[in-house]
Amino acid sequence: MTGPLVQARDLYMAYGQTAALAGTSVECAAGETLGIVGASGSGKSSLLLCVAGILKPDQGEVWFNNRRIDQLGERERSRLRLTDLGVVFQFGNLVAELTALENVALPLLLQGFGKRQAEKAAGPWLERLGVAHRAGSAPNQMSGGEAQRVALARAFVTEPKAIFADEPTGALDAQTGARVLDALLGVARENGTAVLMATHDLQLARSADRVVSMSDGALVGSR
Amino acid sequence: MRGSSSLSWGAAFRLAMIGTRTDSLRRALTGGAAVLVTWVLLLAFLTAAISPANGPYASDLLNLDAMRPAVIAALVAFVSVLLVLLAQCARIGGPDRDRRLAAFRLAGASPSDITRIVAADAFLSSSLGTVLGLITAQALKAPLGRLLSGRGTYTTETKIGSDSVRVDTVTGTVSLLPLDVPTPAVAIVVTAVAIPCAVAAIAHAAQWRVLSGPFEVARRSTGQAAWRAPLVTFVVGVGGLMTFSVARSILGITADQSSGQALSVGILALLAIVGMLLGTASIAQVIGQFVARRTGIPSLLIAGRRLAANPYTSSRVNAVLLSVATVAGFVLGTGEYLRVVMSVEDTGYVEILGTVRVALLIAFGVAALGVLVTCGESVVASRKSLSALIATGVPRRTLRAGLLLEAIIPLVLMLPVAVAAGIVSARGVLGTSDAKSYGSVANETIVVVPVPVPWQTGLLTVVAAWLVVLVVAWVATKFVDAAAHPSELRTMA
Repeated sequence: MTGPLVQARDLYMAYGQTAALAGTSVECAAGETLGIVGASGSGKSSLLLCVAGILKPDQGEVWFNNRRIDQLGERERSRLRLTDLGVVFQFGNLVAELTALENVALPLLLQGFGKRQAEKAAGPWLERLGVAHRAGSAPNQMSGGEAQRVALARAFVTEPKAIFADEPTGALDAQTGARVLDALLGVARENGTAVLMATHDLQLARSADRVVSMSDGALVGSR
Repeated sequence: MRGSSSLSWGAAFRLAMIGTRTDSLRRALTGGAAVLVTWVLLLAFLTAAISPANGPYASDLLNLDAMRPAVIAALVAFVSVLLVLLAQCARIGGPDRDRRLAAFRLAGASPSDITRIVAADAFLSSSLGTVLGLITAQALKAPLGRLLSGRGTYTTETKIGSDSVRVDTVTGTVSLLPLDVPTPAVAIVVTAVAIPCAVAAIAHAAQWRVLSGPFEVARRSTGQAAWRAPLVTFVVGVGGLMTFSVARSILGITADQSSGQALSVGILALLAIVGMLLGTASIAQVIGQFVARRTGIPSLLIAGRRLAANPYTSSRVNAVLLSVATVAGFVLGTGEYLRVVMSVEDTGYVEILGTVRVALLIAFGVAALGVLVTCGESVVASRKSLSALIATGVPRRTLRAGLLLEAIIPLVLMLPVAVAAGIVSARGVLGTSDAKSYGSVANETIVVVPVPVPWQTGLLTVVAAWLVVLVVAWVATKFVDAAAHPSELRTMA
């Protein structure tokens, strides 16, 4: 029997005395796009980081592809993120000293591919996301939108089953943000990749197949 | 309302004192390093102030008038090593402070105002350390002097006639350090003023290539070619030292003109060391580019690109270590020379070289501490980007290996160069052979004895320094586990 691709059950998490997640449950099917919306401090980023296996919840279970991942060690979760999950943040967070092509090739190099093979595979992703002309540029020579597209290429290059995006357009103007979002969702739909996206922008969240709202660490609604 | 066009120093001091726990740590470490500098500088002043009424001391380096300038020079050199450590401490917490400085810029501060605030921060921290150093030195001087006194032998010199000196070895109470010498008032004033001013000047100079904008304060280095001219300076300095004794004999300069020769050697040595330190940036950049273009190993790729993008970081990290390695090479060369020149009975030089080696070991320790501070600071500074990379699946060990390689790669080449530069300089200045006469005056045989090159000890010094840096950099990479944590991602903005 196959369940949802990503599933979080009754997650609890606190930063000191402040509760970030209060019994939150969420799931996302393969190929589905899920928007997680809420105000700042509502717990959407904490939920996203927990289901991506980046943070460990204090209580509850996180399942990915029928495998419980919240109990895995740091090394195994790191390996999982490298092979099966893609993560995108608000600021791209590319390695400042590497070129765009090297940044995209990095996850493949980490998987043991040779330099030539990794860069050969990375090139088409830059092209697909419209930043092939920036292949030799360092991140500080690119615009915010270009850097974010390179970050998307880096997330997609391993052909993950799911992409976790935390405010992926939060640092961009509306027009550039919309283009980056189109690129993210377009490529994800073409590849059948699930996308879990935390955003405070309801307008952006409407592009998702399904939207859940959060407040004070709990789900308060869904569409 | 309008005021003067630039920030007053008073306002700069007030703004410099704002900060978080990291800023407090920076001030504490900067102050601590200033205490060390103060103690060593005071020791240099006390050595300079030794009179016939003081002593005797356990080491003839302090007892003999002719040896004291060398001790003072060594202490001053040690002060400069400590000043670099102090400057490295003064950069701790840079990124947090940079965000605050960017906010000042947004509020209307000019780039020169920012430089002034940074200099004021360094001045204040080092002033507090200097004052603390002066107070503790004065308070501990007498009890420490008693503690470091005991029975021992010392050498006395008595003038006989106009050009003869009688040297006697006497047993009695000796002191290890010249703590019986009254501290000259001028020493206190100079120390109190010079150290904070020097640190502020270094902090001011460190703002070179730093762009202070309203949105960020960033180092302007990525992608730019490192300055190649220092390599010429290095070649001129080492070349001059290598050919010094030959040039001296060709020009017919006698050994009596020692002050002029000492000045020439000093200038050439300075050129060589400055050239090597700045040249390290060029070397780091070339090696970084070479490695990054060819490797498919992620940690090596990251290290290579970081070296190529920020070549001056490497020379800053390794500045003290390479300087100490050069001096160590010079001492090794000098040791071999003295072993050939001095007679078997004259064992004074063995004691002197032993003292110098202890000083060098301490200097290596300080240099290693500097590498630790700078590498650790680099990890803490990039903790958010490291956290994000870990979140995307980059293993911590890859990042740790990258940082380790970044610290080690330039030294693979530069440490042997530094030690070799010191050895060839010593051989150039002192000579590579000595003529010894045997037999009676009527039947004298002159034998030219070559001064051996200290290959083994030189290699041993290089390997030991590599190992020290390897261990220190490995310890610094452990900060990745502590500093780069997913919780950093929640505060990314």
